Amino acid sequence: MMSLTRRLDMGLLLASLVVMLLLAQGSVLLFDYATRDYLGERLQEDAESLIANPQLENSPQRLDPDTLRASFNRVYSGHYFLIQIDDLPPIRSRSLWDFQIKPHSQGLSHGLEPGPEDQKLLVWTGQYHRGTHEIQVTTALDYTPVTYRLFWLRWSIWGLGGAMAGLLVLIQRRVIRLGLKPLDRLQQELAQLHEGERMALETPMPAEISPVVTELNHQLGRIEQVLNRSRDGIANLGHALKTPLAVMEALLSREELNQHPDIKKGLQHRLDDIHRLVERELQRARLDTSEVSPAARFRPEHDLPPLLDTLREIHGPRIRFLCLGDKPASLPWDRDELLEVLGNLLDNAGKWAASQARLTLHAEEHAMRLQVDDDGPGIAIEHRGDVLNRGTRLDEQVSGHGLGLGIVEQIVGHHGGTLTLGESNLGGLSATITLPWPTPKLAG
Amino acid sequence: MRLLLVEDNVPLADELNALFSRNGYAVDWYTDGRDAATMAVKEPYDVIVLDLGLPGRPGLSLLEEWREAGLDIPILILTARSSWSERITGLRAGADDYLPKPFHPDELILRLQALVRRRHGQRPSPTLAVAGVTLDENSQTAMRDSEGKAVSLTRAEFAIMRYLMHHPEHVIPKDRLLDHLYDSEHDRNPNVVEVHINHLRQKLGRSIIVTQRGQGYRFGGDSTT
Repeated sequence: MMSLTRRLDMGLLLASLVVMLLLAQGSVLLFDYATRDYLGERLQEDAESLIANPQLENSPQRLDPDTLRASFNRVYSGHYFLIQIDDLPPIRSRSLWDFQIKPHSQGLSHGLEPGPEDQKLLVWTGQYHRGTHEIQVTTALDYTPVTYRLFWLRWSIWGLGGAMAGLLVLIQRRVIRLGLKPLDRLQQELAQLHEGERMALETPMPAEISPVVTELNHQLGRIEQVLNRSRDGIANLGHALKTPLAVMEALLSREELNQHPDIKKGLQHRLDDIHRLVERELQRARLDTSEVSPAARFRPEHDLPPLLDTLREIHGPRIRFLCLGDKPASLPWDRDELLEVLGNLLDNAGKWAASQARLTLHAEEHAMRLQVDDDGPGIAIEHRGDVLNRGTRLDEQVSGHGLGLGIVEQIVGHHGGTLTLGESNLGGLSATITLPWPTPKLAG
Repeated sequence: MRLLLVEDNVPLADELNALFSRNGYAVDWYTDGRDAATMAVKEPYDVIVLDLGLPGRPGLSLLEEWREAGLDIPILILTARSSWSERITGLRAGADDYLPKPFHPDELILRLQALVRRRHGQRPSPTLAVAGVTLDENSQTAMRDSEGKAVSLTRAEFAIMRYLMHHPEHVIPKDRLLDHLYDSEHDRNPNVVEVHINHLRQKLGRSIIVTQRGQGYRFGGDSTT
């Protein structure tokens, strides 16, 4: 994935290295030029002081070494001269020894001339007239110590420049990290958004990013609005359909229709289908938008007694409703959803039971297990699949519209759980719900 | 038996009116929760069928208000809200039963019968048996156990028998009988009650209903046992 930090790092590093290179190269060039200029003047002064030597007037063949600067006499000392008077053999400084230095037309040489022992010489030549004599003086200086120093200087600047480039990158990286810190919070908020814990981004953002966040919030608001509208629409439609359905049920039970049992039965089935669809869509709309806020969690100690009271009231004193097992303070699922699951299962159990229906809660390591037993006739093993898959009831005599198990399966499936039917040790049917614990991130 | 129906959907209320009348209930029907609020306390109803989604006032607040005021008649909630949490809320607010829409009409009648029975301390069953007389609410027939022959009753006769049999130990004044047999818009002619009681005596024997002069009527039971 493209990293903004890496891109900026590379850009800054390249730019600062180029700047440092140019700076190093430029300063070395300027220094070189200034040094040559200065040394050229020195060479000219040397030449003029040689010309002024009175020995040249008297015996133009040689100069007494003792009157000269010591460096002109030490072999290959780096200070040289050559004096040509008319066509006489030239006078050479002793330091030149056997090396031939080439005079040059006038002034300072453009480049460096090769000298003895790999020396590079800066050469200056001047023409003078003294009396009738035509005198050409050439002075030279070994430039290698300066070249060597310039070389060292160049590397120093490069090194310093490199270090500064590195430092700049580090500083920039820190600045970017600080600058992008709101993005980390944004990411956390987006994660919460994904889990449904919030519906808007609230962290203040830098001016560059805030338009994006504002637009995102705007879109989120719009999505929530649309979601709410469609959920409310489904809920309103579903609930509004139930009254006409009730009217149709009442119409169907009129005596006139008893003469047409086929029509009556057909219509009755279609009405049941519509009712089932309505209930399923209502439940789906509820599940899609449910949020597990801590206040809406299922609290067994608090929520089970009213449910059991209700069931006792519905089924009368004939059926005993019991509740056993672990009772955690709070379970990480929505109160209404668990009430729907347990209400339907216990209600079914109550309808079929001979004398008792029993709910047992098991808090296990990976899942919560809720088991509902009854001492009724049970369901033969070959019919259990039909009951689960269609959510239909087998016996039309027992009141209720056979929607209970379908809704239970819908809710349990939504939470990644399972519903299984088996034989109860009370003798009847045992329905077991296994709900895996949500991931810690969700639970926390 | 006087029934108060609070339901804002006219087609459903029409059907329910017909259904309740067929089953011997005298129905008063209100669509607005505010009207129902006062009527329930004013008139001597035997049972109330209440829709929760009402214009004017929500059904749940009506229910809470009635129970707070000490109204002690059975109330059945009829609602499109079918979830268990809503059912628990309704029952905790003081309802005696909760039937989600859509429902089968027979189931509604059975639930109403069971509610009324439970209120009078009788077992919830489709027949009412008191002092040797059995009243079948589904077929609207009465039978003296000593004769073993079921006799069909008209709607009004059935209603009178049921009311008297629900209060076998009491002497029921004619006014009170009228209150419980006819809805508030019905013409209350006391002579009509006498006519029905005479018919009942012809069908089931003179002693089936005892007249306490100046006080009212009392259920007599099967005098031969």
